[in-house]
Amino acid sequence: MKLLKRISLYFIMFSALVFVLGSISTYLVLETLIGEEVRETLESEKRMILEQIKTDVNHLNFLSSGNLEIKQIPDSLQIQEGFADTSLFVAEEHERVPFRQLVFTSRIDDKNYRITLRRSLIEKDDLVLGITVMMMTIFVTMILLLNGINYWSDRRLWKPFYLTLNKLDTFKLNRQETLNLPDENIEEFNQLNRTLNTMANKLQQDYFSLKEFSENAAHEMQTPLAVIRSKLDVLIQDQKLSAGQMQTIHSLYHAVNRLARLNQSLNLLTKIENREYHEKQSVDFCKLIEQQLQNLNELIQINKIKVISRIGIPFVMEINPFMAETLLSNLLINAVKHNKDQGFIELETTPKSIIITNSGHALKSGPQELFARFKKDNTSADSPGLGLSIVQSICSQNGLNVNYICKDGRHTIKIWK
Amino acid sequence: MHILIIEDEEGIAESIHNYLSKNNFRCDIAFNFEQAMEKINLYSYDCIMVDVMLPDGNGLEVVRELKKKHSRSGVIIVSANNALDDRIKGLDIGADDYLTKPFYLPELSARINSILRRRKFDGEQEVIFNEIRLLPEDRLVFVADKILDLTPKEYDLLLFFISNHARTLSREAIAEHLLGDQADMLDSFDFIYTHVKNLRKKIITAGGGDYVHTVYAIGYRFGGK
Repeated sequence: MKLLKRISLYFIMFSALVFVLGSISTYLVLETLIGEEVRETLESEKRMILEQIKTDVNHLNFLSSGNLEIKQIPDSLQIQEGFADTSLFVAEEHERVPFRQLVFTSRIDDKNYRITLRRSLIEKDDLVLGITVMMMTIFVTMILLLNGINYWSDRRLWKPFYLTLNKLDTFKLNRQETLNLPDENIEEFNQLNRTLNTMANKLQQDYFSLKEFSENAAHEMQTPLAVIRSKLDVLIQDQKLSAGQMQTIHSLYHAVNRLARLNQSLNLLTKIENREYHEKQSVDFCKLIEQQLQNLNELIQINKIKVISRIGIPFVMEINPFMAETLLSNLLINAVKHNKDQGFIELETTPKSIIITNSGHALKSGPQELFARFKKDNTSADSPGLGLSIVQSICSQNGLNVNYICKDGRHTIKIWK
Repeated sequence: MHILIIEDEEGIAESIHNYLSKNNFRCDIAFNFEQAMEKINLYSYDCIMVDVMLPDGNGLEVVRELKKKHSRSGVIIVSANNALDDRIKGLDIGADDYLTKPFYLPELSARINSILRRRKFDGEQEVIFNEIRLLPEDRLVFVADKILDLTPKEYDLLLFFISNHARTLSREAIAEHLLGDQADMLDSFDFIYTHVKNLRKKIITAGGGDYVHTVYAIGYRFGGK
């Protein structure tokens, strides 16, 4: 939801509450005020009538109309004087209407009179309706106005912000171009852009220097390794070496090999994490799996592994081809390498997932832990323990999920979109 | 065969020189960009091995210069960088092959031999070792003019052996040549032992000599003493 929309929504919610409370209090205040007003009017009318009675008694009967009732009463009757609310049927309106009345007695010519003065109050229904209509009108007008302002500010005021967002979205650290956000008229956006520019430049500098460092480190490491390996290749040409020396040389070969592979894997991992393989194209994983199986065919046969393939349904996605190849070759090599003699590999694809299952020995540690760098189940094994880290890195960069379950000697890796 | 090695690391250059010189190759070494440019302008080489990263320049520039001169030399690019970009760029500007450091010298030797074979103008691309004759184009092998039936891996192994004949080859180098990145996957000893044993038996059965010698703890040697 857009920020402006959310703000509007909150605003509408709160103002609705305010309007409801406002309407109720308006109603209460108006009702009190009107009642008060009627009361005062009745009081002043009472004074006028009493005044008139003193000067002109004969007019009394004449005065008696709808809102004034004068009635002679016996002396003995006790009258409750004062204000009272009542309702009377009004013929013109065909309904009962609320009235406030003032009852008092007066003695004229030795006769007792009960005088009742009445004034109609505004009907509660009418009052409620009036207030509701008024408030609703104000409320709707306000919302329309607010929407108008939002639309306008979304188009105009927030435009630089959306431009900045767009640029950030397409910005890639590993490209040479800088972020270069423009100066803006609005102070906050200007500040945002300046800060982002500085930050991006710094990040880019750090990225390139780190990249340069890791490339140099790799280069610096490969070169001495190359020296050692080439010297060993020359050394073994000497036919006068003793058996002990040969054993030593063999160990050296082995160690250099491990180091070279470690370096190669670390290098690859760094490159994946630096997002150097970003050019994507549509890749059919089923075809790739078949190719990789072809490459591994010999090893599969040597280890007498049975391959049960259920890959018919294509699993296609946009990915860098080299990444896809590395992902599958790591998984399939693992499935062969950590298999048992005369074991099996099961392959299954659906449009959304790839499942690779192989037979193998039970794990000493939890399967998920093996995704960590240098973590391996068999610590004496030669491999550096980076294969699954590479797998995870590739998956997370391409929006794929990966899961590893080990149960009853069945190791299952599932990759899904 | 005249070969130029352009490599700034003396240790490596020396080893290559040492290893290749015994294979009827005459090797020159250039330790930097300047020497390399001087040498390619003075002499004509059959094959040039060039390191991409040189202290005073880029090895790819040497390749560009060679192509500008329409040189017939074969070119192998060597880099410490396994970057796909470098590989593609190198092959794009006309290099014949690409090797990543650290490499095995027998591998380099095999690659150079392969390039030299492909560069022969008379089209005769046979590899002959005594009574054994290989036709790399068709991947065929003859022993005393009779066709020898080899598996693809055995064929690769034989060609690798002949390219490095009379040299001791470590099992690691053989495994890497035959399996590439998968070399560390299995007990390569068993794997290589099986292939070497089968190849040897097939050659002997077909009437060829017993050329495969086992070198204790290290590997094998084909031919020589």
